[in-house]
Amino acid sequence: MQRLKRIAVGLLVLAVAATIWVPCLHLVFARPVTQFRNADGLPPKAKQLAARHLQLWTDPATRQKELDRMRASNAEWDFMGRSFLVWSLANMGLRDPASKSVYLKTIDEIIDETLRLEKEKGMYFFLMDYASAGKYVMKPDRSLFLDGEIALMLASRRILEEKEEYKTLLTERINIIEEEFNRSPHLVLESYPDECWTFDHCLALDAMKMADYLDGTDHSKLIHDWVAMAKKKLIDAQSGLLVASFTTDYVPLGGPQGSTLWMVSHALQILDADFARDQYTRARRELGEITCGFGYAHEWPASWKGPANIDSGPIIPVFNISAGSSGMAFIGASAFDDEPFLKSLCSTLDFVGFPTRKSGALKYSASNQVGDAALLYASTLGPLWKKIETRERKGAKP
Amino acid sequence: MSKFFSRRPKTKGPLPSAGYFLEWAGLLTVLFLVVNIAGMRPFTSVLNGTIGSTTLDWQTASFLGAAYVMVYLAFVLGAPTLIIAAGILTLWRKLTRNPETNEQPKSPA
Repeated sequence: MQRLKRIAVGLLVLAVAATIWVPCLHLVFARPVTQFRNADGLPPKAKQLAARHLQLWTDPATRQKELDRMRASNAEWDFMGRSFLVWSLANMGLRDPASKSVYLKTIDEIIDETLRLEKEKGMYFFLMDYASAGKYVMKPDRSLFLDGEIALMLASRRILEEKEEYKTLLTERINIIEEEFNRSPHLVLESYPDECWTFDHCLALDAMKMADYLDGTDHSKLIHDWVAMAKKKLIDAQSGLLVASFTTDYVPLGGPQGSTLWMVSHALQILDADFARDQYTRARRELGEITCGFGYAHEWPASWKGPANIDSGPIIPVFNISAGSSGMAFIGASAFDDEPFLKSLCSTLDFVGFPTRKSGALKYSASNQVGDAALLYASTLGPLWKKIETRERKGAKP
Repeated sequence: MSKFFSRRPKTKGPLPSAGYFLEWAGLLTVLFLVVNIAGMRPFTSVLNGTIGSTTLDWQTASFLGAAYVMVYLAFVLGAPTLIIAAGILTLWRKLTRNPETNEQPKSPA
């Protein structure tokens, strides 16, 4: 009896102790948000994350090892890791002009290697295996995923500093996307066979907007028409959020997914600022959570049930935490200056991201190269979009 | 667990031993040090679906990653909780001590 009483008291004391400790835990990991994000200049974490990525691009053996690890799961991550890094470095060059030459060198290396691989190995090299198993509805086979992100890489580089060679490449890529849109009966393009992604459309349209800024072209009607179509056809009725993927006949495939939506809301900022804000606000309400000071995100709103997939990452039960959505939530929170959410996300990152620092370079062990590149983008985004918005607000001719 | 760490007499009375909690906190700390020294941290990339090492198979890499996460969480959540619990017990013992009928061992632990 005495023993049972001791056990009961012990459990009670442990429960009281946990009630004291758990709400305080986030204080151990809480840092000023300026460590991650600054309006001007480069925040410390951006410098450390960038140092790791720049090391990878100067050390081919380490880079290959990292890419092999990612490609074992998803060939897309190899490509997206390149895209996020180029966009980040372009923003960094605008924030820190003194280091521009270093960033330009790496940007050009990444772009040149990516284009070479696309040319030599074909578009399937950067796509998941099922891309080659199905049939694209539109011919010839093209993936908007690749075309849009490559165009955005080229445009970002040219905004940081003009390069004549890339001017032609960007124009060619934009013309291809435009022609495809013109041929598409529903104004949607495939990334995979009969599988279209909101994410890829928004980034391709961003690239067009940047091309307009750079070269004086005008894709405003196409952008306007696509956004109008998306508001009408691609919104999930329950949550008001854009669905992530859909067929060429607008049939939703994956519902509203956090791993897509946070980036989409940011990408929409230069296409339709009010719609972008609306999508972020809804995503924050439906997907974002802060519990005991730790921020995280669900992959789907409560009204949609979906299985864990390669984009969501493993879903942690009870709290329904999605690694993919939580990682991409940094981009949304940073783009919309949602400081409380961003701060809580940073606490979570330091709690369960397992940061590893070596010689001033930072990587998160629980992440991978594409995850860290997306975090770097969240930490540095702003200047590229600002250039486009400022020009637009001034009403200057592009 | 106490039997591994000490030879002191079994706790008697209504309160469990604070030392028992401290021993568990110590064990969790040692385990955490061991998994770090063993270099298991990079395997936590299993959390995003990336293999921790291309030289190991998926199952082994995933096991090592999951084991690291469990030990880490046990350390970060468990060890401070156990230490606080030990503090509460010590305080409780001091506040409720009755010199005439006290059955507790002399040491607060």
